[in-house]
Amino acid sequence: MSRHARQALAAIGLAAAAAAAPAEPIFLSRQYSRCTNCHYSPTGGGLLTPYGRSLSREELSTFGRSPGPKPQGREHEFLFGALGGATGPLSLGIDMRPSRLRFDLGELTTTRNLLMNADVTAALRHGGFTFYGQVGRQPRGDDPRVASFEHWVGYESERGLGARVGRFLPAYGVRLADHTTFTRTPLGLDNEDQVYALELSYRSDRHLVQLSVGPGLADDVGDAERRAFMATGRFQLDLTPRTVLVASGLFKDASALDPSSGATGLALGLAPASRLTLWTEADVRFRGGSSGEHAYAIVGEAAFEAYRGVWLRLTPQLLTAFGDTSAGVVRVSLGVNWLVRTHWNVVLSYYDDRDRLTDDKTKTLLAQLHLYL
Amino acid sequence: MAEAANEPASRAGGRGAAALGTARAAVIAVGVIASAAAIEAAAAASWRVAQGDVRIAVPLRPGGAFEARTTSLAGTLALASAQPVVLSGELTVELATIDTGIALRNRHLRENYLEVSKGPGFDKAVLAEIRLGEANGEGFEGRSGFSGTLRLHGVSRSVTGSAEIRREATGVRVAATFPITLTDFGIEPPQYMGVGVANKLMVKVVFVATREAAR
Repeated sequence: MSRHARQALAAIGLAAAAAAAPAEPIFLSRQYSRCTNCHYSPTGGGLLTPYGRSLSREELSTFGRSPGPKPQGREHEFLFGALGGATGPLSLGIDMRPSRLRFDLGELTTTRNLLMNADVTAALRHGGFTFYGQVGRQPRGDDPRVASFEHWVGYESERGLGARVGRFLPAYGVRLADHTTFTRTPLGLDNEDQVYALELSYRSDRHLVQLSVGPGLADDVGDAERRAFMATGRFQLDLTPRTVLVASGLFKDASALDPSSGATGLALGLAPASRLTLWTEADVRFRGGSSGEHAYAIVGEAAFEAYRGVWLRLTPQLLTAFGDTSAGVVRVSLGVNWLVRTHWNVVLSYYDDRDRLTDDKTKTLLAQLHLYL
Repeated sequence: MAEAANEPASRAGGRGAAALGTARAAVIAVGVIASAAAIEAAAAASWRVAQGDVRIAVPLRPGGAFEARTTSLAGTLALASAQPVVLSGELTVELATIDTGIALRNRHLRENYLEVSKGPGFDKAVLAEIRLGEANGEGFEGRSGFSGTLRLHGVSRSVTGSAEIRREATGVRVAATFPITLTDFGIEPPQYMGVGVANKLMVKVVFVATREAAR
């Protein structure tokens, strides 16, 4: 196996092995432009609120909808309502993704079964305060790790002013469900790359502003050589309930090992019909010591609900190398998200990556059963 | 004596008859004027609205918004006064046709908040007594403030907003916006599993009114 193939293999394996976030910007077509309608986290993903659970059952799943005019039973609740009301105001969730990954590098084809993640998450909301904590197992290469990857305390006033402190994924761009997207992974904003930070926010009916500052990536905070100040900013303008514009910025200071780096980007979300969502995000990345040598990432995603709960995805992507816009990778991703029944989904994704300089190709097929109990 | 006695009476009677005649003439004149005005009003064309685009911007708590829509707008309006423009007639919206984009939300809206099944007074929103403050005459074009009485959820309340009026080949195109406050109409702002709706909503209405033949 060539060096290039090994590198690609490692990259894909790592990327695919990381936990996928269940945030769903595709639901802009249902006029949900804010993560917090369905998720506790202001940056999306993770534990669903009771509203989000109910919505996933009544509106999004193929077979979960209540038969009568009103929601019936407890199917949408934690463990399908097995505990009744025993948890009180505490929201709980279990998130597991058994997956099968197959990648073809031309000279090498490999198949791998893995448990992408297995998380238990809890949240309590009271008087504007939200207490959030997650413990989970995530594979990092061949070394599974059990830890709390996300834990924070947040407060939001009636007027929309908010603050959050702890470990979380900072706000940047559009958090597409596929965490390997070129506007996420290359920026260091993969699912398990949360930061320790203080986040300040302001939301109104049409605006959302999120600013975060902190000592950097959570896994680097304890490492004096890698620790580096990090700041992010995100501004969202809801032009209409189905049209959203997002501007973002990220800065990571230099550490003893890495130069400073950052990115800025624009994203536009558009839902021209109730079953169609279109997202486009373009980012410019920069790094210290390479003045004028930028890298670019452009991602488009078209998601169409062909049948209730069955979403077809087409995601063309381009990632250039620093200082060479003719280099980089072109990816075409096709996918199907089938939200079969309340809190269990099937996700099939196919990636066709082509190196623009060497013309090397990588084809990856990923099948996931997503259990959100 | 009697004559003498009656003379004043007679003169008085004559003055009374004259006064009566004057009054009668005045009544007739008023009647003629009123009839003329009525005839003129009757002769004035009415404007029919068969369909429109009604959009209600609904802010969500904790953030964002959704749009509720219907095309079920109908009614007939006529010019009752030219300066300022006062319109007789009314515009109605069938509330059961409002679509929020999500079936469950539609059901909640209709059943729990608008209570359309209660029937008359609840099944429709009716806008009447429309006055266009800055408009003058039937041929007005441009932007004007307006006021009207909105009947919704069994409650009638005055509403005010702005309207843009343009002439088109097929009639008059009107684009109007006005805010409504849910609690003014006895509607508690919806709340469902921690997600709520703001009390103040913005209504946008666009329709083309076509001229009906004079009666």
